[in-house]
Amino acid sequence: MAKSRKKKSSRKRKKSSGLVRFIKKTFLYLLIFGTIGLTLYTLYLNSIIKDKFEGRRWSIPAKVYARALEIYPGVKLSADQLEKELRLAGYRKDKSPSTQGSFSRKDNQIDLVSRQFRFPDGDEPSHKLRIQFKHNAVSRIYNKSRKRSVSLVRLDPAVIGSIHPRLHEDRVLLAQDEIPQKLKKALIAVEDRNFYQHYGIDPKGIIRAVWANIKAGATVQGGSTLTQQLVKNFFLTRERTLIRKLNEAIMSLLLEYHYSKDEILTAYINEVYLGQDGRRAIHGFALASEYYFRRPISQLSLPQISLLVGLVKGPSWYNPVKHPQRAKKRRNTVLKVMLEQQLITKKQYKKAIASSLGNSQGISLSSSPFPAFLDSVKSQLQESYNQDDLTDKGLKIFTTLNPQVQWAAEQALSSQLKSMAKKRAKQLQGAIIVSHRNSAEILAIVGGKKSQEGDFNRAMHAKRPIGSLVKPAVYLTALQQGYTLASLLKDQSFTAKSVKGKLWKPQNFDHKEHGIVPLHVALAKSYNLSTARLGMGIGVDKVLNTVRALGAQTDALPYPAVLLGSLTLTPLQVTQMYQTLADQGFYSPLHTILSVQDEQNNTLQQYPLRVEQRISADMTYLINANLQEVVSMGTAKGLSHYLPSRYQLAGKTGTTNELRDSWFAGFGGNLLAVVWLGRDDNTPAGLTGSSGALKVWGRMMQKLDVGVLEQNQPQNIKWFWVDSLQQVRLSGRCKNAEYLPFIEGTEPARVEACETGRFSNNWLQRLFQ
Amino acid sequence: MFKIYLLVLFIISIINGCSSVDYSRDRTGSAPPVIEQSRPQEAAGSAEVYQPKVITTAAVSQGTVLSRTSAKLPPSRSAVLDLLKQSKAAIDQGNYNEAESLLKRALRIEPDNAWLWHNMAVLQFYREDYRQAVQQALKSNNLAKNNQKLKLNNYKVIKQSYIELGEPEKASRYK
Repeated sequence: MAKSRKKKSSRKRKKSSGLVRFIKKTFLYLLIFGTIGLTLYTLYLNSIIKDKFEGRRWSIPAKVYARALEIYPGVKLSADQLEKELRLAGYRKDKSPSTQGSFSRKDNQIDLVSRQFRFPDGDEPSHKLRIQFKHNAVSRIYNKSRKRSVSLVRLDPAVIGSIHPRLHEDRVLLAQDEIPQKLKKALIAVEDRNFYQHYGIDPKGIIRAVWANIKAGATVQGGSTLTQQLVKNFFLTRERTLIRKLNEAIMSLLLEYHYSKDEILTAYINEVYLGQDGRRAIHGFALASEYYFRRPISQLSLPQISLLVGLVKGPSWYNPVKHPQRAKKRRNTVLKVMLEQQLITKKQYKKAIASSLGNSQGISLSSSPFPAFLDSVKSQLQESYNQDDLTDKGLKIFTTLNPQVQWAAEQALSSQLKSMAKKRAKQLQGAIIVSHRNSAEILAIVGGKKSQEGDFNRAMHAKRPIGSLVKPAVYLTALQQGYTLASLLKDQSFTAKSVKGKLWKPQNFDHKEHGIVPLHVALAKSYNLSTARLGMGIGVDKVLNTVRALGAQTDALPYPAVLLGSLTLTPLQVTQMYQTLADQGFYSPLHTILSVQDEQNNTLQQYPLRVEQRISADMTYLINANLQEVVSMGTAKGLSHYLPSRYQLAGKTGTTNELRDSWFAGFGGNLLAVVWLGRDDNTPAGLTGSSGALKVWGRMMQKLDVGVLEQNQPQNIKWFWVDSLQQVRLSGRCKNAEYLPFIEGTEPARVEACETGRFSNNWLQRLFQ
Repeated sequence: MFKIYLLVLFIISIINGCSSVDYSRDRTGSAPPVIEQSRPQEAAGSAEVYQPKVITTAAVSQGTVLSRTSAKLPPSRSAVLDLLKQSKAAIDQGNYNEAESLLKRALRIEPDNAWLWHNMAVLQFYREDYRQAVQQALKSNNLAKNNQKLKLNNYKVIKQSYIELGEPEKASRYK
């Protein structure tokens, strides 16, 4: 009996110990596999962290530079202009400049210490210079360290903006030492008191926060650490699942493992989402400071910083523009925490909570002083550059922007609008593009009367009918088909068949007919009837081919109205057309970017110099000479009010039906510019090319070095005194004779002497009244 | 068996290595893919012409607008010459991007200088961008006025470029 009981109990014991062993084994396996699993998962998350935060590069945007100012004796640069450039480039005014980036001014002399800079074509060391000016030009450059005059010096270029080449976002990044102490302290006090002590997650902090929030009956503290919030910021979806929390926790620990507290804090300050400006997300305190307060973060007051810190919890909920009451309350809560933490005195606290919110009306603010130009840089990056090279690792983009030209253009537009009746000016908009006559580099872009980020960039995107600006293409085509500047045209009304059998009856601007006129007069006075007749004779399709050859891509159909400019182009396209003319028939694509360098200063891509002879130089010479006549005696006569005739400028006015668009395109020896004025809703602006756009052009060029236009004369071009009406050459300069260029062999064959009375008729004078 | 295979592979790779084409500028003299067998001397001779030389002030003056109006040199001239010198040094070292950048800087100061454009054309030739070499040589000629020597040099660049492009009919148009 005892034996069986013994057997029974031993069997029982065997069974129970087997079960325990089983449980133990399972538990052990679970532990092992769980650990392995967790380790693998952690490694996976680690790779994500490293991938995102690789080398501590928190999406560094590309720096965009203006053109580097090159100074040489003789360059048209005044002391005032140089000072303005230096300030744009962030140079400090100093009594006696000794460190890089400082300058001093004494009347017509500027002493400066330039900054060392790595250009795509080599290193430019820092120079101690004395620059002397005379008559608005540089007269001498003296290198103080080398104790001799130099012939050329290149200054470090000014930063005009920063862009994310692929994300189309703007960031203003702060380096560690640029972050105001007040901000750091406030942030840590409110969001993560134990930031410097914990390892990424703060269990004590969570408990404390929960308790404090219960006590206060409001969310006064957050449970997530800054590290966790940073991790959260990088995962755009807003799931609040347990898996997400787990990921967050592990990644926070990993982040703390890899990077220092200060690095994490800096990244947080540059990444945290603080609001929405239409399409643009506001990330980072520096950008938020500019957006909400229109000033750099270094200039913010205590209550302003507190407001921004308060936004972290909910940028839309606490938006100071939309919910000012909430925003104020939140700001004051932040201030209270700062007081409790003894970060501010009671006096400071009292003053701060009493102050108003003092923010802007949510007006969109660009993080660049040149948003329209920056816009075109972004476009060009998209179109012409290898997207794989455009990383978020801190590229350098060298552009063609000339700040002097840009400022003059903006000024000219705004002062011209100011000079008009308020009611009319209010509804007007404008666009300007300025380029180098001979290099197709775009020097300035004005996209509208207010330079703002996100504003419609009319210079690049507003397609408008170009009106009379098309005429040079018509006349150029005629010249190519054997016409000369002295050819006679009929300026008489007619009717032609147009779209869908409709009849087209063009009219001159003055509603008159001028009879028989020489070709050059018809262009100079912009007669519609002669142009239309001529165009119909040579073929509208051929005219459109010329427009395309000049570089304006248009898919307009060859209807007669095209001859008077019913085709639509953007100001940029018009500029391209006139650029080819100005460069004697050589087409070179207009561009804003010179080169792109990576963060190690290796040149990724350099804009290649490209020219292509599209129109022969002799034909272009003739048309340009005619365009000079437009300015000296034709529809652009009004330019003499701004610039003396010795500049021999060439240009063309453009006016569209019912005065909806006012255009002027013109060039001198150095600069070319196109100006457009009109209304966004396409209602009549009430301005002709000469009463509107031309004036803006004139004002602008008065301040710049537009240059005397001395056209390079091809070998086969000869000038003659002629009488077009009689189709004769004259033996000398007679009364009422015309002095015109011809391609050798195309001038009138017959020669006549002046003395005969025939040439005293006043028809020429009459025409130019 | 395997050893023999390796040996064959080794020999083939040596042969391949030796036959790689040398793309230095001296190649301009060696046989282009198309014809012109009858004038190899001229082709070889042309190679020397494409060397951009450091330009004397006198030569530069001949190519610019200013020679018409004043005998005095513009104060910017030394800046241009300085950049020209640097660009030649860059070309000698094969740094074509840098050379182009320097020439562009010079052109911003004196945009109508036919010699600068000539050097640009030559640079494009070295880079084997023959179409651009032609266009830029044409541009230089457009600005060259009465400078016959410069025009001749440009014609040579254009002619050799068309040869390289395999367009002998176009090449034959230029002396």
